[in-house]
Amino acid sequence: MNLLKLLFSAVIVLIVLISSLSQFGCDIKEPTAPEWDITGNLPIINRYYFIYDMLKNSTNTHYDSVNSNVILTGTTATTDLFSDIKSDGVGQSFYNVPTNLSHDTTIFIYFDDSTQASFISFLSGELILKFQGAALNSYTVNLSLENMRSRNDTTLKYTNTVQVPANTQKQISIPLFNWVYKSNGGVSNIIALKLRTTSSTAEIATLSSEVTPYTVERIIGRIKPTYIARELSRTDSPFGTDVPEGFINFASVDEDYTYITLKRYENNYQLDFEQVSIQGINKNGNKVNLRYNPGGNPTINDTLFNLSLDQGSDSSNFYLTNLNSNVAEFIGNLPKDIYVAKTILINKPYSNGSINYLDSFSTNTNFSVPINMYITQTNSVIQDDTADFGISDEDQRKKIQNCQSMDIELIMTNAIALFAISKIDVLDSFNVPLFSLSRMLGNPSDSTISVSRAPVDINGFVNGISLQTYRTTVPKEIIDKILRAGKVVYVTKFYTDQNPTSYIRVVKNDYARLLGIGKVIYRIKED
Amino acid sequence: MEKHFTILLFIFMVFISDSFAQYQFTVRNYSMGRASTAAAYSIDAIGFNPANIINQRSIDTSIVDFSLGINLGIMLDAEFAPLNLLDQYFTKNADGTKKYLDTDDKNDIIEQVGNTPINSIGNIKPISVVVRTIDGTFGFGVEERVGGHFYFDKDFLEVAFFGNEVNRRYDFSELDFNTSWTRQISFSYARKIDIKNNKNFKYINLGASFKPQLGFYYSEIINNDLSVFTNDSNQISGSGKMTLLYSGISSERKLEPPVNNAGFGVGFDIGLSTTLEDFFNLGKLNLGFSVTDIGYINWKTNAANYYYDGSFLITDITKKEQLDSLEDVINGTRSPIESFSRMLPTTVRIGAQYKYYSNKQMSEGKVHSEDMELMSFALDYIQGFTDNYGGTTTPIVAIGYEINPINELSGRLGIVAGGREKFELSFGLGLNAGPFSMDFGTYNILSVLAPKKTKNFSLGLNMNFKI
Repeated sequence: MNLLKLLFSAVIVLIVLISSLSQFGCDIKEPTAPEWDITGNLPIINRYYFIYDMLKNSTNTHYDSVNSNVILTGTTATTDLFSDIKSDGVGQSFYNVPTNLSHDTTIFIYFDDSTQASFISFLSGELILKFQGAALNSYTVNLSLENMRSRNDTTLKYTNTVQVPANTQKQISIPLFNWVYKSNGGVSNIIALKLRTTSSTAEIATLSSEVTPYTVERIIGRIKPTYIARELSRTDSPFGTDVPEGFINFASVDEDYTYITLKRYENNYQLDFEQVSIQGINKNGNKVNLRYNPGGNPTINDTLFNLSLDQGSDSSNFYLTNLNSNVAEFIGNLPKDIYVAKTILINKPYSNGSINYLDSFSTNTNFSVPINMYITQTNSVIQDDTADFGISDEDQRKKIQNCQSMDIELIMTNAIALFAISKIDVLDSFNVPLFSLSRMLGNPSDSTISVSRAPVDINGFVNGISLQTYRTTVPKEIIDKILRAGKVVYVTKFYTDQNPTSYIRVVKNDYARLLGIGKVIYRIKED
Repeated sequence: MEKHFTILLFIFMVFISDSFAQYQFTVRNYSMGRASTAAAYSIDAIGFNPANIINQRSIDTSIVDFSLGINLGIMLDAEFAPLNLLDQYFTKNADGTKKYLDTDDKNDIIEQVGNTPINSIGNIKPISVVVRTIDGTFGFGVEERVGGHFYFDKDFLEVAFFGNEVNRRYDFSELDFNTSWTRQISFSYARKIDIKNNKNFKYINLGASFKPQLGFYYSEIINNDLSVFTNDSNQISGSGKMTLLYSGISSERKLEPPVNNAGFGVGFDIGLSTTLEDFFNLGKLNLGFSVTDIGYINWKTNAANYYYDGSFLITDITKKEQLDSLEDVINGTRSPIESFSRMLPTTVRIGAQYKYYSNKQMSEGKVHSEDMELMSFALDYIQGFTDNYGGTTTPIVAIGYEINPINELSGRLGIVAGGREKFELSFGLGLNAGPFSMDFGTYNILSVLAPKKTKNFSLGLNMNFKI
């Protein structure tokens, strides 16, 4: 091997290698993680307060005044359909018919013993005609049912031709669903069967008619008083599902706003709600049956009562008072679920009217309870809760220090017709106050923030919301205090107008909300 | 300390990586555009074409070739210039302070890195040996392979660099990665079979490798539809889920020294090569064919699916239970599985190499000579059959050129088209000092000339010894 060549080669390789590596050496520096800021949009606070928070937690609330300007209102509603309007039909009737009738002869068939109608459409049932064969010869029957019209075209009558062999019974079954009943004028319960017979001999044959039990889709006329099946239904709770456990002793109810409403849709027969039972079950499982006796002094026998919706009325209210019911006890049970059972009797007076099986009716209850909360600003309903906010992990505590700044916007939303003030304090784990967030937000002397009550309409119902927004920038020294934070204490007080000019209503969906949103600038860096 | 470790691990995984079969590592291979199926010889042929371990340069007569310690390469394939990015944002300022990324910096990083694949390959061959005997040629090699494929979607990076915007949904479903760390042990054998009565082809080399595979770490996202939304009340809700498949020598997904293996498998290479001794009276034409990495790895140790149920709702950060639920999401649920298998990235290679000699005797069939093997041209077609372990099914065409102006010095150039990198120019140098040789090269010439500008970075260095 030529040493010179080798040296020459080595020099070239080393020059290229060293220059390349030096290029690398110049270009590649020690990797070091940079720092940068990210903006975290965080939900700082999200607290809802409902009326039951007050009922549950406040010791200042009383329910024994009928002169209060605060009324607790609840409603229930249930809607039912007349899905099952039934008739028992008509049993078999027999007619003797000559087998050689050259002229049209009419036989009257009764489709019901007492219902009379100008129009009926059916959901089920059959009209059955049976032709008994003659003794000697067969015969042919040409028939039409004058009052049974095609469902699709009421000008078309039902017609048929039946060949009846000798000594043989021939039956035709007519599904009522395909046909409607149309009277010749006014109301009637007769179907006119017009027939003509042909035979080589004149004999007498027997024809029978029968209407099986049927259900009605729509009827115009006078139906016989008809019961529909007794139903048990659970209604939505009057005060929401978030009711507290236990019992509240209400002294009275607002009689103008406490009632049962019966309401009809479309149908116009008198509706009698018989054997009505309304039972409320609270969160503890305690059951209270509503007693109602319009004559007053309800007894235990009045847990089943009757209500009626007259033919001429679309709805009726049955007011519940302390005299005619135990409604205060019923509401005081704070029912979470209410079960309503009733039997409906349609057209008890046997009058003309109309009904469709899809027509509906409803049973609503409306409860209003005046409550006196004794809620002045100095003696208010206090809602307080504490969130454990301690950061136990040492690494996480250190990371808090990377927080550069924090902008907090707190929005107080009030959909309760009560004034609200809030105080938000941050404490360490030994309950030593670190700072007051509400003071930073509102900068008031008492460290609170407040929002006005929600507006109400003339009936006292909330018809809008009140909003109040507070903003602050949390300084670095306060952010550093978060390291020692152990708890966040929220205290919210609700109180009424000091000089109320009208009453207000508090309903189950009324709420107040503390929403705090934060924009946190956080430095990402290697610790 | 943990952060240091994480950064180091990240750099390790991204910049020093993998096992991709189409990217089998030798420095000479890198330098010649990876056209090596016919052109590789001796210990460089391990992994490419086991039949070629018989071959050696015409000036060499060694019985034993080996490399010890220094035989390593790295390759990084991205659509941005990684070293430039590293230098621009992930190094210190001139005054020694840490860099602070402003909005433009962050946008630039997201624009460069977001929604682009990053593939990294790193190989270290601590030992490779070829021994020639009268009963054939035996090869042995150990190769450490670490690598990964990463895809950072822009939404993910935007949250990481800017935080969460209000009224915006961040879709992380395209976030993807798979990584592996394996060790391949190759036992190769090749034998020359003489062909009688054929004046064109006088012999054929047949070779095969048996390659036990030891797996240390494997992780892969197998499904992911995570998203996060912040509403106008700053309430943050997550949805979707992600499943991460993992096996490793550590149950806690922390890096530990590879003492024991987590997965085990076997692989095989087969190959053949032959030479047309007189190629139009201009030189020799070597032909090669090989199928490599036929096999699988069965991952067993700590094998588990990690389920991340991304359903969470944070409405109030002072509520501990909400933060706890978020922590549960981050920690995921580990569901052990018995094992799972992944096929090795089987690859077919077909190659040819034309050698031109300055000494006519060489072209006439003399086996060894001091005379120069002046230059050679090589052409390879490489076809992968799976994307596992970073492989690609996109075919690669490689053209290599080697010139030996003197026996002691080799210059190499190459062009590679296809595969993950699409198009690259490669370059390298070799020094042959008889019992010792050294190769230095890159498959992307910009890696050397302007490393900060290159999107596909690679560099390799090896030292071989001959006895």
